[in-house]
Amino acid sequence: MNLSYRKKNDPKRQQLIPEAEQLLGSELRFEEEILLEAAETAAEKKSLEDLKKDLQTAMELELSTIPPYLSALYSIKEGTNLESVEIIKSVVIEEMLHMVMVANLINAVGGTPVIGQFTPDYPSKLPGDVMPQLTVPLAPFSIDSIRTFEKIEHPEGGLQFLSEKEKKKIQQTGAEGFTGIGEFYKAIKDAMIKLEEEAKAKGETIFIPNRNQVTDEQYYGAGGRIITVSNLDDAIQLIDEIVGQGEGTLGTIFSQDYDPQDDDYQVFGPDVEEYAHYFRFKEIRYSRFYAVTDSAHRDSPNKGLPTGQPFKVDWNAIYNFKPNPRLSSLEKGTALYDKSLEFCKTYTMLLKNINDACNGEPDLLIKGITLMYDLKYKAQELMKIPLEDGIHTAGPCFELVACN
Amino acid sequence: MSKHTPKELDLFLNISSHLTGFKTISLLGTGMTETYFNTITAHVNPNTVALFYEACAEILALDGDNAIKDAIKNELIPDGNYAGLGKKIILMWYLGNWDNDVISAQAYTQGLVWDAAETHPPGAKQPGYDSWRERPIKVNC
Repeated sequence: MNLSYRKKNDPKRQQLIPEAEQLLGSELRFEEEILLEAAETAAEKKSLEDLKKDLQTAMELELSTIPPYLSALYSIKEGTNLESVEIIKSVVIEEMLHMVMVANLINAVGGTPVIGQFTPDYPSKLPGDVMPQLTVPLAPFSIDSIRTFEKIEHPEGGLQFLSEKEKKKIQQTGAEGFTGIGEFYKAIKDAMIKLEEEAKAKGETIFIPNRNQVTDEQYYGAGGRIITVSNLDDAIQLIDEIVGQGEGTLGTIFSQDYDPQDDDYQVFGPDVEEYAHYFRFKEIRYSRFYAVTDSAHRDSPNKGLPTGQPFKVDWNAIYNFKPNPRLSSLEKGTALYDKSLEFCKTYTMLLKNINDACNGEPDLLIKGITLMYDLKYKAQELMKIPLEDGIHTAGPCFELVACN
Repeated sequence: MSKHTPKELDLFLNISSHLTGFKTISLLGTGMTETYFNTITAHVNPNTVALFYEACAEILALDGDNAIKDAIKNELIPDGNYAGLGKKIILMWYLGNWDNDVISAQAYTQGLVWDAAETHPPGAKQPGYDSWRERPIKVNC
């Protein structure tokens, strides 16, 4: 099998390219192509300030996926659904990694990442006008939740919600908003490349080397290697890594015909460490791993679905917390309000910790790990507290509260 | 919580709060209430259990915390009363044990002793690398 790790549409490209190979001739030509393409397609002229704003939104987009994933993860009863737990956990730690990597990028272009001033009010739309049809709740582990997660990570993004006719129309006219997370990042990448080209023409650069970077000394063993940014190459690598780990740019599985000879869509099996989030969630819904012979293409013999080793998914082994918990729905001064508030404070403290780490104090991140664990135990504690309706339990609110 | 008469389970939870010094919501948050309630039912003579809960109902109906405390001390704590159930309930919540046997893996993890000592059960609920260098987290902000 010809493993083409570095092809543009290969979702495996999160497996990082060894540095020594980075500047090979083919890679350089590839970079040139990207530059040309970007210069042509950057839809509107964006300033450096616009870029910083868009990157801030990208960071908020990454953050927005974390509470829904964590809520589902922590609702699974201890000792059950082991494979599903591992899959969701692997996705959520990559989203955390993405958030910190985007912060690195913001710092590299002279911006100030702001974490802890914003968190979605669930049920919520995704930030940045990404897939405006989609509302994301905080809910326990269920088929519906996994479906929602697949939608978030869908390679075709918002287009999945439209009829074929509507899709064609949008593809012809150029849509407003972004159809998916991948497209959102592509716009950022294009604008960034264009800005750097303009700066270069004047003998300048938009990048500041080694500015407030979180490195693998502070961030390790979670979701892959962290990328630091000092120049355009780093920045492109970082965005490709995020898009590759997430939905991938496998949109082509929906726009290109299935070709049994094309092993780009065969990316599964024991030799592949991890594949794009969309496919990992699919494994849970079908309670099977992908087999090495499976294809991601929907017109393939396996219809793009996993046919590998089955595993047990027990949808009932959950703490059935009442979806979208809110502080405001609880009576102030009650014991449950106090417990929920304590969770919100921990969440707020954690985001503040990450914010400080991403703004010049990277060593703080290690202290943040304690807060992350604490957040988990507090969430699990809330999910064990039965509500008076006799059906649900309490749940974690993921709200920002006053906290110094 | 429907399998048992809610009244006795309720009594168990409320008397446990007084016996352990933890709020009922924190006890519920361990997820162990029913397990511990059932442990008593499985190990103790039904008549003794019934008398114990009768006594609990009377004590909890008393006026004021001090009256309840005194009554617990005199009525539920002595080893000779209700087969020593008062003390055993305290040990069960704190250690997850019944007569020196661990009730379940969850019972060990959820023992109140860890919270009380501001530490964590070894082998479970890890607090994160290097956390031992820091003071326990307080979120009183």
